[in-house]
Amino acid sequence: MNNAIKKILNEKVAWLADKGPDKDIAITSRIRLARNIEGYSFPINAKEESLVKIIDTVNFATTKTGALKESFKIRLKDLNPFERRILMERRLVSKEFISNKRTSGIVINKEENLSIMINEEDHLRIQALDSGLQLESVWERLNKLDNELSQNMGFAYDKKLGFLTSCPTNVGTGMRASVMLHLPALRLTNQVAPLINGVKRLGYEVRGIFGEGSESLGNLYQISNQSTLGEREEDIIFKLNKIILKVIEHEKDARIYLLEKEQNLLLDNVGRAYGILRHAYLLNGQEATNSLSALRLGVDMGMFTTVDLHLVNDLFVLIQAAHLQNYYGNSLTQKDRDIVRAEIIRAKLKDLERKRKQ
Amino acid sequence: MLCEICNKNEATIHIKEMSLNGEGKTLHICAGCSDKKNEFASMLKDVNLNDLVKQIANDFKGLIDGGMGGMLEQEVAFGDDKIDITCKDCKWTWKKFRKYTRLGCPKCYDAFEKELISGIKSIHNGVNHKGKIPGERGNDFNKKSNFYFQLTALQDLLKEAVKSEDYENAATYRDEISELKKKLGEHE
Repeated sequence: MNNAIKKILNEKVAWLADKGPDKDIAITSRIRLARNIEGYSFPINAKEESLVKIIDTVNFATTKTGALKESFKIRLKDLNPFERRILMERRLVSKEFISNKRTSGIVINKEENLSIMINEEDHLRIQALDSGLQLESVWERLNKLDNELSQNMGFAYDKKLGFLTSCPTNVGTGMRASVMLHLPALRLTNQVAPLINGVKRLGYEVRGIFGEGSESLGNLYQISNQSTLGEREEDIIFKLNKIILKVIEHEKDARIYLLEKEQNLLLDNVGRAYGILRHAYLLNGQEATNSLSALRLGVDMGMFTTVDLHLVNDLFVLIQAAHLQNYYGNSLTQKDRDIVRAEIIRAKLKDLERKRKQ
Repeated sequence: MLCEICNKNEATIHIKEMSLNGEGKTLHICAGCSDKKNEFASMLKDVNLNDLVKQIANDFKGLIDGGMGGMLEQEVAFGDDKIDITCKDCKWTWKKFRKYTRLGCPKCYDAFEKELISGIKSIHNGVNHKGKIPGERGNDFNKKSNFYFQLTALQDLLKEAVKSEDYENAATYRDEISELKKKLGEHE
């Protein structure tokens, strides 16, 4: 296996909330900046030699930064499909990136909370992540890296339009700030669809993490800004933060409502999920993700003495296809994945029970 | 009490609705009707939600200028695809842009300036860049102007909260304002 991937697999995923403000509802905060180097065409129109030069320029510039001086520098062509999936499942690269046929690369720091995709849609997609709701501190780290990089390359920039990007939807600040939220109580009280519509009407994008539209797998949603031009970076973050806080407030109210008025519904939802996870022998990704969501809700509401957020977070990553394969050590068919997935979860939950009895 | 929809079963689900003007209404329904009439429930939630939207929109009066909520489809935003222009630097054409929704190079923004501007206007909250310049450090000056913006925003929110008699939020905003003022004082 590619050395870098091997090392990455050994690290814990930094952006899953074990800690961080509002960690029970806000899982991850993420900000990315789109940047392009002056004098080159955008990746869709650039020649191969240019793309190679761009990677070299970026790799060199990162050696002059604080945060990425020591980092994994990987060429996409050196990764097989399995290794590419690992990166995608850890949310370090996008789906578009791993199917890229042209010369592209990625730079990742050891903590996996800072990275640069090279030659995806733009020359550089710089990204910083952290657990919980922490947009300001994520921005601080990202801004610093952006400034350091610009000391060693000329970004395509216009006084009126700001940073010039391959797609006009990113022009200006080039900033997409997003927060991944876990909203199980809002779903149980049938408030998700209207809430999503409300947030969209205010000019924010809402996407299911694993699904499309308003029905999301695992009750996970990502809310991000749509406009990138016409306001400062700090203002984008400030407003997004306020929206997120309001949504969190509504999820909290829904949880209290369930606790006070629909306790059996709540207990049933969590109890069934635990039952399935603890005893199933065949678990597809969908059922596992939804059950883990209910488990997480139960943990948040203090229903468990042994299951903790740490375990739930680990499982969220582990049940994905490439990670399962890595755990098993061999390639797996769909059916085998369902078996291994159930096996891992059963084992980990059984382990907790045993520890509790001791 | 009996379910308000079927008037047959015991009502076990009680959905409370609060509207902006303070009126409360509780709907009492049974589990069967709740399941069957999920669309009814979510219609109700739509009503609830209009209030939520109004509330959030009020909070942001003045902070969101111009930008319409929701992104228009790029095809609609960027209009006519029969225009025949080519970027002289990279040879990318407007037709190609419409096909891939990608430009060819930074200079395309000059070549297609007129055609792009209306689309940009409908997608974004403004047409002029107000953010950082390349290499601009997050220095003290930026931090100070950041505080001033937040202060104005919070003062707006406080005014609205007091006007709508939302004293709980008003108190929160008032506290945040005095926090900020203290921080500002440290920076001067």
